[in-house]
Amino acid sequence: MSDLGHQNDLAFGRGFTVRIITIGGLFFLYIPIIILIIFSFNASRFSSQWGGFSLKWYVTMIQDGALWSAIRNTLIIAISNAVLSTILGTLAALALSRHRYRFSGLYHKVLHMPIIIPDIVQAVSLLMLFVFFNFTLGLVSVILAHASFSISFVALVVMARLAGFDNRLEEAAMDLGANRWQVFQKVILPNIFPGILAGALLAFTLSIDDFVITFFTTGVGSTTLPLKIYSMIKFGITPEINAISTLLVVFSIAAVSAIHFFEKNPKTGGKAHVKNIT
Amino acid sequence: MRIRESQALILPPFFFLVIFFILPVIIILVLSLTHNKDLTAGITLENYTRIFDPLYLQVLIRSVVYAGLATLFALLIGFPLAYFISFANSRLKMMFMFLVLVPFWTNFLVRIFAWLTILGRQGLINSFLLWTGIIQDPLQLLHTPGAVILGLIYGELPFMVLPLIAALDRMDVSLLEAATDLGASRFQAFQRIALPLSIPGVIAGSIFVFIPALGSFVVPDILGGSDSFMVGNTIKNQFMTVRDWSFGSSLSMMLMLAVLFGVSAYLKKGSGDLNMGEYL
Amino acid sequence: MLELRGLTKLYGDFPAVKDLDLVVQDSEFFCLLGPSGCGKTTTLRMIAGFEQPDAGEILLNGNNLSRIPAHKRDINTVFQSYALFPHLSVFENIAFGLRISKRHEDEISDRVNAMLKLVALDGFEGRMPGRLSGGQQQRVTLARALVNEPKILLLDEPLAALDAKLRLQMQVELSNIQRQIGITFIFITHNQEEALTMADRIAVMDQGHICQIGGPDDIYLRPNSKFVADFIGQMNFIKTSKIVSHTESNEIFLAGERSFLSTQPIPENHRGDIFFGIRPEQLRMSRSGPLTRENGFRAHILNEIYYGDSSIFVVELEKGETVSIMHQNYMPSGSNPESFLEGEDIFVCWGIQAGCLLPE
Repeated sequence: MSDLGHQNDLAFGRGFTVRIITIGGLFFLYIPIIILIIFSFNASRFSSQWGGFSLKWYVTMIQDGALWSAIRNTLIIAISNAVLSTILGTLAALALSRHRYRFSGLYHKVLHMPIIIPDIVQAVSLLMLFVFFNFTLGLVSVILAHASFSISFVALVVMARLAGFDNRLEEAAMDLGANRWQVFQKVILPNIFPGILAGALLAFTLSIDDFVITFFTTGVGSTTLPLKIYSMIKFGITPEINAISTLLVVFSIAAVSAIHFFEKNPKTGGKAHVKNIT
Repeated sequence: MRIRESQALILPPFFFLVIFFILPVIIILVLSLTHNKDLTAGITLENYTRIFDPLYLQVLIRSVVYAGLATLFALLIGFPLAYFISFANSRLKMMFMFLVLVPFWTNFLVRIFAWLTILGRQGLINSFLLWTGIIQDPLQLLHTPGAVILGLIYGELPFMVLPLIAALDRMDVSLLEAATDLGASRFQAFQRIALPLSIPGVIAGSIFVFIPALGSFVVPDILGGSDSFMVGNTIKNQFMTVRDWSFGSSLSMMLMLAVLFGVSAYLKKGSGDLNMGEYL
Repeated sequence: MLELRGLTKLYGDFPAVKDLDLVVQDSEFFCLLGPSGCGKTTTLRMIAGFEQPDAGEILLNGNNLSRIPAHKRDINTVFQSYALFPHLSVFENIAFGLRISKRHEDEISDRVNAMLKLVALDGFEGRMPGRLSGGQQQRVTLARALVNEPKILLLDEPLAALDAKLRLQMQVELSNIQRQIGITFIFITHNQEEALTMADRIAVMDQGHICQIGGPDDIYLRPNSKFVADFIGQMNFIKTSKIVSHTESNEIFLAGERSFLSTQPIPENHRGDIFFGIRPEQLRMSRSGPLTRENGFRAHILNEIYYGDSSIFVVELEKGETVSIMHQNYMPSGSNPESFLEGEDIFVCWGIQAGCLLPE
């Protein structure tokens, strides 16, 4: 019947130009990634020649102690940041979508700013803050810096979820005798929980991926994985990076698959996915 | 009925943001007005006038041009891609969304690094061209403006595609059917209906690409050379190498104000709400 | 003349429309009526060209439309969702088709203004669709389609989103406009009242095929199946056990040794049971029993459902079925009709020519 979604026999989006650019665009996105993966199994040091299949770069990677400590730091930072910014971001989202404050507009603007402002600006300003207050650069400064932009992302994701929340549910619960805490616990929380989870996941990933802000706010002994990769790129390219990269690509494929799997309803198509992941 | 006590919920997150977001910006602002971070020497605008020194102005202009070109190409590639995905049947759509999201989730550095393998002197393109005999000496592909723009397009493309898909998905397909019904060809339906109605998505996507591209430091740092450095590199140098924090701060303030001005001009126009949460 | 021959559309393995034949005459107000999921929308979308049939052909004045893409067909559609272009004014919405066919600016202006007058929206040309009421949007959609002077206008449940009063008003207006301009209208709806009030002919559809085609009174008074009878209006169904033909009438037997007379024809080559169908307004209650050429059964009144002008009485026939009877509460003369009470024992009577015999 009329519930055909965007599918159609009129072939919108199936023109020659659209197809060519789509295929070309996907090749553009994937060729570098595929090349990374292929060369991670190259026995030769040089990307210009194929020296046969080998796992030696994976062995090198596993034996690289500095890499492991970078991974450990990355995870410590990512998990701490996810916890901190999920709590603060959810509080901000709950407060802003459920109350009209005198300066609601201003609060919203401040909340959007860390997303809009280029990360390099945020990075140097945080560096100056830590320098100004003689705060030792290290894991803690990186976590605080990450939280300063992650809060906004978490808050926006949770607010998007709260926007779809029917206030009458809350009234119905109160009508049925629930007190305020029970309403929060049994009605609001279960409804926004997927949003909170998505926000936490987002904060975690932003943290793992971040290079610029970490680069400026980190100290001795708190190198993260992106910093480690960066220094490997800068001081002599080694095929070990291909191996690390391949594992990171596999990790992101696993993450996206997991989200696809959890979001069992394929009919909602793209938008719901975008909403829940990023 | 509202939970009054919860009004205080706003305090912890905003206390945090004041310390770790607003205060740092104020520090930068103050620094940018001092003579080489000497707080006692009074206020000066010399750090701002210095931006207009041809040496730095050139870098600023270059940054805007590179970011603009990256945005344009991302749009030219991203729109057809989003159009295709939005109208695909649900199985194909899921698959293509997956293909767009994997790079989106993959570490930015790693994705930029991949181009070193392709563009380097001993990279794949040069190896291939030398092998075919088309060229005798390797081409200089890396450390060029082209490499930087390519890297920016590559890095930011998913940020263009996702808001475009969201905008196209929101469009009622019966509008395109109606246009067809009234005699419009597939291209006319796209041109007169789909394109104008996806403008909010186009603008959102362009903002998501242009802003990070403008402030980019990683891409020119890895793929660029001294003639293709962008403002991000200059800022980094001022803070990490030259240690002229005051000038670095004024550049940062300029960049931030330009971005905020641009975004708020768009929001004022009322052509759409830049609701990031929707694409996130 | 529009002709559908053996039209079939499959969604996967599910046949939405199967082997459908239909002829719609020029200038006819034709209605496809059926419950949701019956294939009427799919049929309409195939005529418009939005969907390709898997088999069969669509002929417009003898020309096969299969190879003609939707945008080149002389057929326009009024969409259920209105599908007004939100970024274009009322004027530009209506002018859309004319601009596509590159008409001269003066001609566009003349024809759009004429249309605005026809649908009583002059003065609204500058408005954006978002600032119109549902009824106004409905008229703009109609004008946008009609301005192209199509050979056929397809209307996809156009009144479904309107409230009851507005719907009634639009029913009258649509009929008037159709008579005024003489374009063939093919109207689809699941609302039997809309079909009965507006259509010249109605095709009742179910599960991808047409059950019955005919004028409104044919469909209402002489449905050819239990499905059609049940879908259009209210009808009481009584299962028959045996039918014995006499010279002037048939004797219909029910369970429990009861029987009555009917002059209605017996359906041919039916499978399964035959039902006697009779509408609530064809039955009457009486304290004194049947008149001549009337059947009468003893019965007991269970409930009265009061509707103001009339009431529906739910009555249990002796040894069997429960039927509904419509009873007028007021007479035009002002005299009060006989009144009945719940729990009373009465006769249910009907003329031997009334009702119909329906296959399962």
